Amino acid sequence: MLNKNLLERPNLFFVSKREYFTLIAAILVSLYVLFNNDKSQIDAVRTFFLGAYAGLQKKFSWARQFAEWQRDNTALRRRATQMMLENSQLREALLENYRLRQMLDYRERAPWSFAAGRIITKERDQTPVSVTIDLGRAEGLRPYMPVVTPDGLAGKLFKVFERRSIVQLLVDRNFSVSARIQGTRVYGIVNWTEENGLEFTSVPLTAVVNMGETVVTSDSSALFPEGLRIGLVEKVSEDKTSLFKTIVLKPAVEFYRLEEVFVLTSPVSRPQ
Amino acid sequence: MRVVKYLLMFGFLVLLQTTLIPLLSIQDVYPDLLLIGVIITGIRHGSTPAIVAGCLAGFAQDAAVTQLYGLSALAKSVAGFVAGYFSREKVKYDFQVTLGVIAATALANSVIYQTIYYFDADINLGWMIIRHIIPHFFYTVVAGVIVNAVWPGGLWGKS
Repeated sequence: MLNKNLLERPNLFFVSKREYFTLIAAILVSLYVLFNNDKSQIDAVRTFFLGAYAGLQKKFSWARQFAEWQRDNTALRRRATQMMLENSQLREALLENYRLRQMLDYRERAPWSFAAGRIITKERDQTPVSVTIDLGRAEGLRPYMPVVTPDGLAGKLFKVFERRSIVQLLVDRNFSVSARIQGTRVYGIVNWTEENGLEFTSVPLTAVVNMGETVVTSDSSALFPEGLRIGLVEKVSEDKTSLFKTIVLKPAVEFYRLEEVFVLTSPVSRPQ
Repeated sequence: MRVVKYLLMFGFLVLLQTTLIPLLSIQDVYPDLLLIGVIITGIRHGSTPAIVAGCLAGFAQDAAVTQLYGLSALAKSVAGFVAGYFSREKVKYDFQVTLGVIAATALANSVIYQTIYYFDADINLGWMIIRHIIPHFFYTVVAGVIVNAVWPGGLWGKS
């Protein structure tokens, strides 16, 4: 008897409230059909209800935001702790750096300043080895000052006149510069050879040099600041009869398209 | 049999509503005979049959005349519920009760229909009530009272 009542109860509830269920069903069907109309009234109704919903959502969004704030707060606390630890480590590193600098009697290098020069003459060869620029002694230029472009090292001043100067380019075979691989810090000399073009020489066979690595001026150069791009390693070969690798570079600067250069005008010492 | 009788009645009312009733319009306001059919269903058989009748009659009316398909169905479904709700068996069958049922049903129908129909129109709420909701409501109440007077046994169908 009890089980029968339990089974019948939901059915009785549905029957006693059937007018409400029927009304809800009729309204839903009507609204579904109504909102499938492509009329301006329906767009207006839809916009109104969406606006009302958005307003309500905005009013009650503090509850959701509260949970987000709690989450953010926890994350920020964790981040602050992490930053504090990093900060203390960095402070230690700074102090250590300071002590080491004092021990090595390290001196800060002065920043380089430069003068922009326009190329007024260049050789008619496909790749010129020297160019003349429209700057000279009047602009404070002196021989051996480095000449660069935004792509990297272009050469150095060879002869300086009152209003113009001759630039010896990197592709001159009499030009050489102390260089190193940027990543692995393998040291060598960059110069121009007739057979291979730009070469990175004096690199021992045991040194690891990979294709595509960047070669820059080294810190042991007397003329050039450290880190100026010279070129990319294009080819690496080893000769059993030689003590050094043969490394061919692709120049960073396109010498046949030079139009403007920059002369680094900071004081430089003449090579001994 | 009763279903067939009501189907015939609503078919006849749709026919009248789309052909004869527009001739009786005053300033684009005319009575809603289908709503009177829904009131009769609600009074005599309760809310559930009135809701179903209102919904189906509304869809038929939408198909025939309304621009917004589903709007009459929505308004008449609610009106059917109202008609059945206010005419339960405990209610006395007198004129005031009949008038109250007709008025409540017509008001529900008119408010829902006119509000949505003129939702995007550039008119304020007061003007919409005065110009559209009340005239439609009033004309339908008048028509309901007339039908109650001329219909054998009135809307209740009892002597």
